[in-house]
Amino acid sequence: MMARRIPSILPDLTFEEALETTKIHSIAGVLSKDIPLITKRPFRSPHHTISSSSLVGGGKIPKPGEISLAHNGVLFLDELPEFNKNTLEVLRGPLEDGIINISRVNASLTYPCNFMFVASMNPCPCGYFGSKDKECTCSPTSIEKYMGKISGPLLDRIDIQIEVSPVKYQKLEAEERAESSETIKERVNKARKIQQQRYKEVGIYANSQLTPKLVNKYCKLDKESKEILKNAFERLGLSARAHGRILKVARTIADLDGKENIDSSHIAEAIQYRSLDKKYWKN
Amino acid sequence: MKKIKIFKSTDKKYPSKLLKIKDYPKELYVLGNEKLLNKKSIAIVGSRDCTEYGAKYAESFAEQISKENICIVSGMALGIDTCAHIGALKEKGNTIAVLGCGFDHIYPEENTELFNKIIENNGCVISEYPPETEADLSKFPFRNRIISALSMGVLVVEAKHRSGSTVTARYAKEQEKKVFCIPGNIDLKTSVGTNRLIQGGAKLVINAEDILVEYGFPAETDETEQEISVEEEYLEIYNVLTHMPTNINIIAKKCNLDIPKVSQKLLMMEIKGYIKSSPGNEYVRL
Repeated sequence: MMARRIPSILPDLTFEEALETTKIHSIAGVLSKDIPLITKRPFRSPHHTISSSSLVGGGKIPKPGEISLAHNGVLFLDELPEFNKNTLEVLRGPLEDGIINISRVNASLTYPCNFMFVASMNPCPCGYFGSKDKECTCSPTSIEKYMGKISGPLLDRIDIQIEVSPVKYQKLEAEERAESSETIKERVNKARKIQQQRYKEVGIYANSQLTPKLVNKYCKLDKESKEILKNAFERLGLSARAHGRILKVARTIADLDGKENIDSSHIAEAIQYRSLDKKYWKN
Repeated sequence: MKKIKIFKSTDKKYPSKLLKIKDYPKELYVLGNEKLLNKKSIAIVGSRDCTEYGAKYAESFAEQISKENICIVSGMALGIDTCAHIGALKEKGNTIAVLGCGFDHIYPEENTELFNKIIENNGCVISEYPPETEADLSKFPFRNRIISALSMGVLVVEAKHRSGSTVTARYAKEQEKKVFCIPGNIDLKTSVGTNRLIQGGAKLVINAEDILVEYGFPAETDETEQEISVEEEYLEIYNVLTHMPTNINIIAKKCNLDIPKVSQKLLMMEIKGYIKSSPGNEYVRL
């Protein structure tokens, strides 16, 4: 339910993005007659029985797959460990590059696939591992096997990992007003504007597009933050791939906060979104 | 791999401690330092799926007891047993693992590394079954009589109701050995066994001295808890945390802070080594 709400807080599509997404949908033949131009960010959530070719694209003359249909939008994989392991592994390249090369005998095509990857999963097959209310009935081996379906390299490419505790009935009833999607979206759009402004000269428009060289330029850390990051790497055993990604997330948090420089609280928040893997994936 | 030694019950080298029980093993397969078998020992046993609390104290008790040059005996199962062996190895102490299967089929497989470590560190692994015997869960409770027979006393750290660990305690009672238990939270399944044992007359222990004093080691009356100095900014959250897991939502509510702020601080505290996070967004003091 939470994942389905994501498009409601994403920044508006720019005209160029709308055209690109529409083109892909048109090639795939899924564009409806009533909506000739896609103006909302797409949200794709394929079932876990999907094959790897329908995920990344394929066919005699390759058609775009789910990841390209989610271009400029969200690809949501519910119950991640239920997916075929090979199917998940094909996501590695596209997640890094934002494009997918599909080669067949008749044609070799490149489709864009710049999507936001969202996934959800349970902590173990029975779903109660770590829960206080109910005891988990899974054996350590079955938990390990379940978690093992998601490889380290794939996990590394997920920037924000959050553990959610089950919601009690009383809470569902309680009428506590949380921040509405509209106000969040306003904040997101504001942060996007800051980014567009900042990256005017380098021809990109979002933090996620920063290359390693640009990360060095735009994600400068003060002494305190550097110290935190260094300690975190030693203590939490983060991978080298995580380094650049943490910096980008910290940059985004700072932008949302309206701050020009990344400070220690931003970097701490970014690191804390990475602390899940060490808890559940032991090696 | 080192050579497996076989001791028959008629051999001189056969540990005399074992001969005192009625169904002593006819043959004993031994790997590593067999001298340990005649040394003063304490057994530390407990549940396979232990809690953070149990793991912590199994290790620290084993470490403390090892300091007094007492050997730690356990069953090399997952959970408490593993922690007990690790604790003993930390103090460069001696430890004996009593297997319920043959040496060729280490059970559980995850513990093969521990098995090698025990041998490397001059520890000892024994089994009453020939090396080719496969692991058979029904055999496991039976080997517990050896665990208790080798020891002066048995410490049960965490145990479910009617589990293997309570079997060990029963053997210990039959063999007229002392049983010690660490008390647990009455809400938890893993504490039912130990709490019931205490009810039935086992000695409740809260530190290693409580055990050592029974065997003539001087009791040190050091009851003061070690306070680690926590920076002012983390103190508020640190005071909310205990040695039992606390959920992040509760921490946030008690400190009146929002979740991002709390999780930031918790991360910093974890990096600094004051606390530890566990599955389910729970945090405990170290």
